[in-house]
Amino acid sequence: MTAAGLALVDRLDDAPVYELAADVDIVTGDVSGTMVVEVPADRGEATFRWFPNLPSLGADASLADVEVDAGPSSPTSRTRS
Amino acid sequence: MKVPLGTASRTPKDGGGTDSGASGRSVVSMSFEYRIPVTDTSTMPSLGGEDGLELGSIGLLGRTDDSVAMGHWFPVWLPPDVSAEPDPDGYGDIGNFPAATISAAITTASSATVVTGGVELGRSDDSRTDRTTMIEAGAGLRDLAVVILDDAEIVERPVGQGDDEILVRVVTAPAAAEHAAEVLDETIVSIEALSNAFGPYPWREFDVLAVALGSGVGGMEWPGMIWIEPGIFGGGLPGLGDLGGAGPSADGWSSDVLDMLDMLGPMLGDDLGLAIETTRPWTVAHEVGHMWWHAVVGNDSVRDPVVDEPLAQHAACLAMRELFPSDGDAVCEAQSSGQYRQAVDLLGVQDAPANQANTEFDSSLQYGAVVYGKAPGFYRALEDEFGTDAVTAALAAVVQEHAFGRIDAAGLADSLGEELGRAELVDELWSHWMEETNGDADLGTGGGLVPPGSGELESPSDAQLEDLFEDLFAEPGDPDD
Repeated sequence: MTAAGLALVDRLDDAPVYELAADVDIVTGDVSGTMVVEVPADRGEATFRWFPNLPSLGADASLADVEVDAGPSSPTSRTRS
Repeated sequence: MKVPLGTASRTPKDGGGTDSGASGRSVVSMSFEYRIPVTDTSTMPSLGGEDGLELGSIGLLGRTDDSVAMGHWFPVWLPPDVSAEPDPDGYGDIGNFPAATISAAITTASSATVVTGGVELGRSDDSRTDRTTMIEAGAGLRDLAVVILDDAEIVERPVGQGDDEILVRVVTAPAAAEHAAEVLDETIVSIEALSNAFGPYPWREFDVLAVALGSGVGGMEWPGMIWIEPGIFGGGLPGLGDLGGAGPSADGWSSDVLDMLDMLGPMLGDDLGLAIETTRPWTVAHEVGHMWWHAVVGNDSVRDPVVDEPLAQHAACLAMRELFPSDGDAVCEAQSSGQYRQAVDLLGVQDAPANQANTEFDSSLQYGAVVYGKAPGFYRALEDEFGTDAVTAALAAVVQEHAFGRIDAAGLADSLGEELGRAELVDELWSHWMEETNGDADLGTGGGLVPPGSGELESPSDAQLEDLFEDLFAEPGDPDD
């Protein structure tokens, strides 16, 4: 960040922290990746927007291996027909 | 997608522990797979149907033969207080994400160029597989957009000095490289003008890319990066490439285009020619404006598009005053109020309150006309009352107060009232421009396609309008061209 940005960085102390990895095939468009994110836990659940799963995209998106604090988890999802 | 968090969670940043409650943190991990769809750029711009700006087709996550564009490409956490639909609806942007610290390891073909909204922290090449992993990261980002080009050319220039210096880069496929230097100039003017107006740009890099977008979409903002539709990038109109070779060159617009504008002028009003000629610098300035109004100061684009879009338009107006010292206000007028007038006069769009969720508008055309065309008039009304310097200072104060946070429509109106010292008047103007339907009277509709009572032009039929647009947007080489 610039000096101006760094002057504001303490506002990010409680911000989410993402660690992402993705393998992208630019010919086929295939993406496979992983995400580890640290989020506030002051509610009983965390909501994520999973845009690639938007039905009209037709991206054939899938999620797997969902864990919370290193333990298995069962996410729920809603999709609009 | 909702993930139950359970009771064991970490204290902030401690990497462990079992503290739970208001200050606790949880670590959520997952893997994902998908195939990026091909971006359809062939559709004629919408004439107001429900399909315009449909989220699945505007190219936020799309690919072409030689590039992939990845916005909203990973599961993004939504705070409890936003309109958190896992499958968003409505028109336009959907971003309502909190500022975050994001790092990403992007692995792809070594020959490709990877550009993100962050900065490069490192790279490793695997000669055995001919693949490279780029480590990119940034703080205060609400998303980390990624573009990967099979082949790219880059022009770049530092802006600012010392610890506030930033690197502005324009990245294009080779076919569009001839326009990169002009785009770089326009971008830098906008960044400098808006840094002076609203406060310094906070990140080390700013990237501009020509990215295929769906019909009717001119550009898209991401923290630290903007995408410009290739037709506009080349100096033409969205979906038209460079108008089949008729786009602007060093000698200006071609005689074919000027003839067309002369023909359409009486039908569409005086705004059209100026709007077409300035589409690219305006689009660049609008998207640069989003760096302050959506990237630094966030808002819920689904529920409150009235926050960031009119402000990005107003920011573009400020940049136009620098880029076109003698015509800046005329360009602003043509690109905002003129857009509203054309939508009303040419396409029969009706006014609506600007301050409503993007899902509440009748069509994408109405959304565009009201939010991008009419609503920016609020800021010009403020300037008329308080002066440009006072309004700009008030907006800079809003940025300073809410940087890396989020603001809603009511909060914006209240903050401006407080900063300008006359809350009642600001509230009155806000209601007039954002809550009520005074657009036709305020912006002077009825002077375009069918001047009321003139008797000189008959209202065209739907078929005539379709023919007009098919002629305008015909692909070069079409049999009917």
